[in-house]
Amino acid sequence: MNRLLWSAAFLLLALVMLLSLVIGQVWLPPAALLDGLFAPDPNLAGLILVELRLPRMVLGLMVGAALGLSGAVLQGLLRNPLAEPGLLGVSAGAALGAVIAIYFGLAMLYPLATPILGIVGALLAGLLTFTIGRGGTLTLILAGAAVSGLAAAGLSLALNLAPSPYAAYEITSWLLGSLSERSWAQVLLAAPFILAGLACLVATMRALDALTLGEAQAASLGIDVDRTRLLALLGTALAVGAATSVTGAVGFIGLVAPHLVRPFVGHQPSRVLLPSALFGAILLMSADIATRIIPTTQELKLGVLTSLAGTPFFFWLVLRLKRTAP
Amino acid sequence: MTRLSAQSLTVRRGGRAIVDGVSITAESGQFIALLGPNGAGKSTLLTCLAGLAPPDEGRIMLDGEPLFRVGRRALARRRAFLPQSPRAEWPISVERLVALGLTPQLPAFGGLPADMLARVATVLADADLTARRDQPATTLSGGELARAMLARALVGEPDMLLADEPLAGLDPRHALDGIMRLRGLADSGTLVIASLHDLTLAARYASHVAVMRAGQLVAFGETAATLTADLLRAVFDVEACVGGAGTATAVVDFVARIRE
Repeated sequence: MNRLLWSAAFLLLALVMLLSLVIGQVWLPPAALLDGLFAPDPNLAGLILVELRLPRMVLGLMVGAALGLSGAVLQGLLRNPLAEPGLLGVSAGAALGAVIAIYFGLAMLYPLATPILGIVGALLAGLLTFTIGRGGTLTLILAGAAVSGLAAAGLSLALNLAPSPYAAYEITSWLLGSLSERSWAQVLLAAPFILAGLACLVATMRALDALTLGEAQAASLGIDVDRTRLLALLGTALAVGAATSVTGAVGFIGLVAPHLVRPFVGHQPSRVLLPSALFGAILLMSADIATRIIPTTQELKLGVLTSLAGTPFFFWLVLRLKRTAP
Repeated sequence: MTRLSAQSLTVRRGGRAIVDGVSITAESGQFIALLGPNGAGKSTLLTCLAGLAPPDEGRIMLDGEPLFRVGRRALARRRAFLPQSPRAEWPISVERLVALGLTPQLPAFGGLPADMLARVATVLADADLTARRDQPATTLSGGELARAMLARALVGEPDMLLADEPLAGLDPRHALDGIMRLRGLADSGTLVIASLHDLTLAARYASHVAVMRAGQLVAFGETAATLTADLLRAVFDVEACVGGAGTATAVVDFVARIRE
């Protein structure tokens, strides 16, 4: 990606970040927000900005980057344009962990129980995928599918046996994915995991380039393919697992972001990574802003919106593959 | 000076010995054509000798050091490996594809240094692909891709090259170009081991032939002395005629075996 495109992307990101601070359920003029921020004593505008919109923006930034980067790494690792972060069973594991916290009422006693159990679930799911599927790329995908299936079964069981309709409603509504009403405590809990995960994912960069030649040639070029698989899985478990633990399931960002940037960087896998993180963040925050603007009686959930907007893209991708495939 | 030596290599898959007690010593300056019918174990032997898959039994030494103790990156700088019908998985440009051969030499971050770009340009010209430099590698024809992959393997100037059917799918001119380059590499001190199915080209340009059948190495030696009609008859089960093996005008021809 050349300098002009990079600057345009960063400008777009800055714009989205600013909008996500200015736009909310309550309209406050930017001047009032600024005044509130610098006012010496606590006031409503300042509280809304610092305690509601700022954590939401930071969370959107991190989660979007995690999804975009993980999607780009997995597509590069598996050399499959349809790979996405949920493929390794990590997101489903995170969702199951979080739902267990809601199901047993732990979330009521201790608000951080949901994300903590979510992260535990993601790491356990990642460990299970790795233990079963290690040693091959195809086995890793299959193990991921099996772990996803297991976690989905657990989720269905929780819904089935939910102690009250209210609990079932709470579980489904959490599963739909949202950034709203997340506290700084939740953001700060997830942040170290997400950052560590992003670091693991970025470390696969050079190996992904070599994998363009297939696994045998990559190995002959000194790439440790096993280690690359481990880094991608661990990075996804940490980053996407922690992200899902706080926000619930947000689909399609990890699938779409790499496709948006790929033509601009000459399809070289390593060059897709950072722009994908950037566009993941832009897409996620734009979608989150849209949920606040679109007037609905109930909160429009972020995960619902990304699916609604992402599915047509998926259709387009399939049609394009059909056209370009030999 | 490079010396690759294997002692009684055995590789088993599903209880069957794919490579069965193969011992071979190869040195720089040799161009060894690895011959044998389909399923003889050529690819598996090459993968083993390249240090990419450990054998179940036996050992491989590179310059007196166990091959599997040479560091991954250090080995990658010395040895190039080209698997059978390699593919480009993303539509990256041909130039970038070839530059991937420099992965072990590359600094941890940043792009290609200028001297490496020059080397990429040289091998592209050698492979007759300069005009295709900016074209997506996935749009190359099979033969062009094979040439690009050979260029990819040679761009790092390896001490030894192990290639699995590098000439498959090449038209006569480019097959000749390719095998003459392999011979040229060997003459300039590289150790080249390549599995081939074109027996005439092997008879003309290989300095040595190694012939496998059913996992075993049945013959290994200088082309002129080793590549005989009797050997081909025994290994490939065809009536063969070999003329002038080891010379630039050698011809190998064969017809179906006459049975009573």
